Amino acid sequence: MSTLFSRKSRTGSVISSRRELWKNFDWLLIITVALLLTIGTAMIRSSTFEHPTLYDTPRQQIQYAIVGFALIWLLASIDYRYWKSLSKFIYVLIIMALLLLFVLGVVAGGAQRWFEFFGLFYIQPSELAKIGSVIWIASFFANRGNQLNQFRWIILSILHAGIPAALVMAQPDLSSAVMIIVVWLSILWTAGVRPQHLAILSGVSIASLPAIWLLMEEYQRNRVINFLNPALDPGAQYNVRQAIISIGSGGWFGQGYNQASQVQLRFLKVRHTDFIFSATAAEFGLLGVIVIMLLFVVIAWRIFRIGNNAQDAFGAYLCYGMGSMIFAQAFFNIGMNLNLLPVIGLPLPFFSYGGSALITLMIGLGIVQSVAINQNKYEY
Amino acid sequence: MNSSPFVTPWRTGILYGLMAISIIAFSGQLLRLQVIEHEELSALAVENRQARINAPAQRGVIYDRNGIILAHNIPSYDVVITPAELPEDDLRLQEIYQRVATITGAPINTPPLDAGNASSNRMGEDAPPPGITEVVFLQESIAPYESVVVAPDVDRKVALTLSEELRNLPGVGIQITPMRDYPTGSLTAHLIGYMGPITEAVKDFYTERGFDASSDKIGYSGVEAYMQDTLAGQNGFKLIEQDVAGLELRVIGEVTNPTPGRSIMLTIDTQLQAITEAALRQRMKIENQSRDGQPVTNGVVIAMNPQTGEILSMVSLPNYDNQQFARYIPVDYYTELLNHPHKPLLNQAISGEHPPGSVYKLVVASGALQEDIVTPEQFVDDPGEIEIVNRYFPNDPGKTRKVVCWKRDGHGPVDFMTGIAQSCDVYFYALGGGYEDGGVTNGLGIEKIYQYSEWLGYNQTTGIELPGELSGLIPNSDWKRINIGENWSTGDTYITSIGQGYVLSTPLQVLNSFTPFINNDGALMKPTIIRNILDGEGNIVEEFQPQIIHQIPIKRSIIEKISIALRKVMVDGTGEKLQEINGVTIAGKTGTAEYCDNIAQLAGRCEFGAWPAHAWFVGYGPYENPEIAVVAFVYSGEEGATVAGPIVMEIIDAYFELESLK
Repeated sequence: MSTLFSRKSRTGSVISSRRELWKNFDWLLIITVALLLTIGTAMIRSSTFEHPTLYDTPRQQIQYAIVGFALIWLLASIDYRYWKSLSKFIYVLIIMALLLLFVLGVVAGGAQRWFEFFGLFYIQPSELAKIGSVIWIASFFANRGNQLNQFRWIILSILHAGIPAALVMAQPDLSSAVMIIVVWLSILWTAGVRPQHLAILSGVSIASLPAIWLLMEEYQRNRVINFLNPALDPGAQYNVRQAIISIGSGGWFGQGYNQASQVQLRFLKVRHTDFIFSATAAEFGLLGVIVIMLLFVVIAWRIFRIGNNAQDAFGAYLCYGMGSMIFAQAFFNIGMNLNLLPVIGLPLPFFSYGGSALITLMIGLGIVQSVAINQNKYEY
Repeated sequence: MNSSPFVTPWRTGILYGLMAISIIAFSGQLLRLQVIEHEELSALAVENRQARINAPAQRGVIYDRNGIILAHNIPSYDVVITPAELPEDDLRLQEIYQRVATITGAPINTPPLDAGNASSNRMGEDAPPPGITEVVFLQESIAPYESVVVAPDVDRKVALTLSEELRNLPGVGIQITPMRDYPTGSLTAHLIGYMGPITEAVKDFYTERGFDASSDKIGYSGVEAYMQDTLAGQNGFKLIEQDVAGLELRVIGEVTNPTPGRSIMLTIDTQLQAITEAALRQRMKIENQSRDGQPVTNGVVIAMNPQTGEILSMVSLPNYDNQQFARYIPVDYYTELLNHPHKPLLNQAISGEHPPGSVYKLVVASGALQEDIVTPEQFVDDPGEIEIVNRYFPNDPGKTRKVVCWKRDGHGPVDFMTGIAQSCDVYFYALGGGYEDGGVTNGLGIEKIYQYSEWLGYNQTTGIELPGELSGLIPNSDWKRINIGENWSTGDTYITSIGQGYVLSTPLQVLNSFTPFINNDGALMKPTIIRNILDGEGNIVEEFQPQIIHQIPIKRSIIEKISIALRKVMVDGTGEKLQEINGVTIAGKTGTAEYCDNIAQLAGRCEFGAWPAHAWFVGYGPYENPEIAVVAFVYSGEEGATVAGPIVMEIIDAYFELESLK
């Protein structure tokens, strides 16, 4: 590992001092994330208080967070440019994993999202695919810097990102597929896609929707309808209804920590994961959740800022992809809680209970921090 | 912002712009939910966690005048299971289900639909009961801490057997709920009525008054309905906090205990009621043996204490069995009753409107003397049939038509006493419409007849404490113009004078119209069936006091004359053949009222000049100091004196026999 630290930077100077290396580490980003994790874990505790089976989730979440911070440190220490050279390999590996999962799922007669390793730990390839997509899409556009004004590269990038997205969608895991698309779109945008190309793309995709619709079989259409509007499912409808009641009962300042009847008496469902935002709104009120939303803005701002200071296009695109993905996850989750967006089952980043999602996010942050450490300009 | 060689600043700016828009949009929605709609959403949250648990009030008991129970509450044993208290172990669970199934007979699993009989399955009474497993499974997903009935209304013995084993059957319980029981069944069904669920239409009304629309029942007919407020009492309740599974966490505020309903003692004498029904049935049976065609099945008998207005018995046939409605209203039975031509669900004593015929003649008799149409001593000749002129307006030359007396060869010269005693139709035509050849220039006229009818309680409800009482009908010229669209004709007056034509009355009205003459004091009594109201310990809270509807404005001498005439009916009039028993002197009035209603029309019995007739008789005794007055009405009974009369005599006789035993 120690060789990694002595790697030459692009400017040619050799960073020998550990202290100097960590100088550019973004502490504000880490503090913001730690703050979200702290409030999140507190809300997980409140949501699962004295629950017969879920009472242990806060402790587990803390464990995941510790592992996550270790991963940030580890990945920050690895020069992010390694990932660029590995991007093709990662791409093929993840596609194979997704395919294998698909086959296994068919064998098991249902959707399968997990690989179990000797009963010790699980790996969810679609989570890895999210991180992987940031790396390979960033790498794809970084390698084609000035050729982006050619429309064929855009088409190629769609195929490139579309394959893993389609495989994830087929699991079916709509939310991860949506995240891959968000990452592709945000990096495409950052890399300088021509607005007119983007307009053509959106025009074509909107225009092709009816054609695709007509080509589909009846059962496929129903599947799409249910996919896009899970509220048709009475269970989901109940959840959203209870979320609205929970949020509304919070008022300006909330009913107080561990006090909201909707949360404590468990009328709000999946309140420690998908609907934790509603639980927070019930206990901390309008002011509390506005602070939470602003924390996500801070995270995006710090990550974009690191991207702006990156020493190469790959680093910049990595950060913009990662920042967009984190904010988009928050956007979809909060929008679902507020009944403004369909229920697609995305957790609130750094806040909802869930080890797999948290670890993925922390890996992403580690890579972002590596971009920060390896930037060429020191400006504090 | 730092300028980066790889990212154009305006592109970053757009990204920040999108973020800002989403944060603003979300904040807007948050403001709407948490500030603008805060109150209503908080109320919904409270509704979620608070539940009102009802403590049902015990409904009052209904007794007869001698304390015999006519309606009371008996325990109904329901076997219930609380899913949350069942053991986790599946084997143990199956053992419990098996044991409950063996003891109660409830199926463990819902039996599959019978394919050959699919239409009748799941509907009405043919539907198989759902299995324990399915019922519990469903409840577990809805409210695991709330018990669910797996075997309703089991036998007391079954409940006892099961209760001994409850220790070994965790999650299983026996829930005791009060159920209404009507020991006298059909005998008093029209008086007591029955109960039913609170329907959507009246849900708000009763919920406001503390009823639980899902479990409480309300009176649907009879005293159960009319005295609903007195019988029901006030439910108790407590407000609890519950979690999503329905587990009670704590009680909020004070617990309000239920107030039991008041009990009611009726004026009905169940023994006399039974005799009354038997007498009516017996007479119908005798009548049906001697006639062809449609059997007589419809009749009413009411016995009352004329001095107080207390109803001692009230029978309306055909009747129904309210005991069958005790737990729920069975659809098949109810439909059958609804479709019956003689409406067994209706208490015809107060809801049946029929032409009264000659029992109505007291109206014209009292009016004619009071208005000096005739003197009591004046004779009017009855040749059997007379010619009258039917005029639609004063100077209408009119058409002449014949009207006949029931005695076709005539009664000859008839004075007031004979007129009533013989029920001479021609005499009453003369009094009502005028008969110049007979010496009566002007009759009473329809408006006067209308007024005297109302004074005697016709054309209005009596106010008896039973729902569904109808007011009958007394026509006048206004009524005819509005409802028939024609002028009143003099012919109408003649026909009204003998209680025919448009005149309709209920049996109770007819009986009650006699009270001023029976008591000889001109007081029109208010009939009642409530003797007193008792509290839970049997103490009298409210006692019945005789009430007078009004004092009829008719001269005492006239009332006395009519009273004497009613006695003369039995001595040498239309009722002379009726046997007085045990030396009780009886007075009364016969009535035979021709009719042509829908049933007769359908049966083709409305032949001109030979309409079918109802039999009426009102009798009371002892004449000197009347204790009991009885009206008998037999639908299509044809002859008042021979069909209705004997029933009344039998009941008066039975009444005095019962009195002598006391």
